[in-house]
Amino acid sequence: MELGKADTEKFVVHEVEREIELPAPPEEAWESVVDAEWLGGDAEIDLVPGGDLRIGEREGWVEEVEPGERFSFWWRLPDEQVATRVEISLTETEEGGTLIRVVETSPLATLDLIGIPLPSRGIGGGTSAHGPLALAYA
Amino acid sequence: MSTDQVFSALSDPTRRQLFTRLADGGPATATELAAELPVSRQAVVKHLDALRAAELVSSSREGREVHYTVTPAPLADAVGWIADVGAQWDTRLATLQSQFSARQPK
Repeated sequence: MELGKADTEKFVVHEVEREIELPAPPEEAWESVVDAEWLGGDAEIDLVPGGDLRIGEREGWVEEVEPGERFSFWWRLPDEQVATRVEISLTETEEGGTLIRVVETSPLATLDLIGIPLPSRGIGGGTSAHGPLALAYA
Repeated sequence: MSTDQVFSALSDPTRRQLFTRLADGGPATATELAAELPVSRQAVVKHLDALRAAELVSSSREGREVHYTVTPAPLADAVGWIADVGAQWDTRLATLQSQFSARQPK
């Protein structure tokens, strides 16, 4: 099945969003965020776009690194076919704290559930060899 | 829309065939689908209605024609995924918050 970008965007289906507030400015909160222990214990993150990432059992790669503002990455468990995208954004609150917003998105429905091949192109222009699907279907 | 509805809609072989045809071949009208599959147009419309009720298929009218398209979103067990992933983030964020409070007592 060959799908164009407009088609593959229809497969962006699931999203989980959470927010918490930390009692420190974004620069300090950032250090805690990228320390990454809280994400799942033992973690190794090459903190550059395209860098490899291992967090607990999960593996993936870094998408964006904007210190004090945004950290996004893709990851998946070894037995999962599809990688999901995590975006963690930091916003300074009026009180001088930091609002941490996490959004995890599952980009592709598991169409293979009923034997339909999954789309073979990237999402939202992410079509490079190191793009989402390179990992998701490697 | 429940996962049960999705599986019930896909439990019928003709509906699976229709769904696969729409997913593989792109949007089509009931008339086109009936021509391709060994099913009457009337039966196709009935099956498409069942798929639409489970939100697996959506329809849009263009002039006198109704085009059907797959909306595979429900297939991935949305409810379960959102609950699992949400619970994981609740735990992680609680950890982050506690780490942070420990480092920076208020």
